[in-house]
Amino acid sequence: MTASIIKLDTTAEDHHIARMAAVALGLTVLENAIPSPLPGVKPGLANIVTLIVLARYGWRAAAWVTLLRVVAGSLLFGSFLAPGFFLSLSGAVLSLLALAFAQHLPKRWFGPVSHSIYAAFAHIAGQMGVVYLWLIPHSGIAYLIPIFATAALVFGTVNGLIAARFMDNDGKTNMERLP
Amino acid sequence: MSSYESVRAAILPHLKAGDWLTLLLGSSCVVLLTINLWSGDLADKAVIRSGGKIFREAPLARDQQIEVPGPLGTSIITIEKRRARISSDPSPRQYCVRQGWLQQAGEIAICLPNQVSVELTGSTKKYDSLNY
Repeated sequence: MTASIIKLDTTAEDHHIARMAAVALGLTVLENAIPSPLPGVKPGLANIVTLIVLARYGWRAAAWVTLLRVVAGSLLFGSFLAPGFFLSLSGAVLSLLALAFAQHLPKRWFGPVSHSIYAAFAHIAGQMGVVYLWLIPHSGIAYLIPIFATAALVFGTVNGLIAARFMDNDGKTNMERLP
Repeated sequence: MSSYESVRAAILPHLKAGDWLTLLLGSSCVVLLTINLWSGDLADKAVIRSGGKIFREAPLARDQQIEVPGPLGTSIITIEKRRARISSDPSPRQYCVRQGWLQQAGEIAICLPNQVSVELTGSTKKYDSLNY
């Protein structure tokens, strides 16, 4: 038997997506160190990366970065295929769907803040759906929805603002970017 | 520049007209959800009657078993996961026991022979009474 070498051809785009996913992962780890008053209420800092990737490189790249972050993040925390993983996944998938629509909003009037808020609401909708259909099929969880919705609005807005600030210099030439 | 002004400068340029619209839409969503879901359509209290008089009012938030005395013997009422039911009763036909879990405000289980009833109440009442 001869030794075979498997070589994957990677493009510059692949490298870029991997780099962005790594940044998102770093933010996920950072965020897990922040204590939360209620399980599930998290700032979702990694979504800042998704928003920036969406604005700069389009939806396909944003979807790759997000899904890589969810899967790799669950491997890091040892929750792959555990309930928490499916909660993240359902939230991420619904957010991406919302972003697929939100990205077509006219750029003149809608910025990353709008994208972020729509994605945050879609995120809790996905999570509550999985919680209700699978984990806690009881109408009592309806009591928690206003709390999650408030958190989505607040963190969605903050994340959107942070993403918008990061992209302040987009569209300017390098000369202008220098102080 | 004061800190308030610098915060304004950091935030305002990034909010376009549509973003304000989204914020408004999101806020009204949150307000509507809160009003609808926290208005108490879901039952929050079980009113237990014995012989027509209120024997006890128990919150549904805490799981517990309550023993209610009646003319035939003791009925046992179970509260679990924000639901209530009569789990045991000395009545001959056991209608109230077979009725099962009560969940919505207005639902009621009555054991006529033992003169015991359980009714769920919320802050607003959708129906006067629910029967199946």
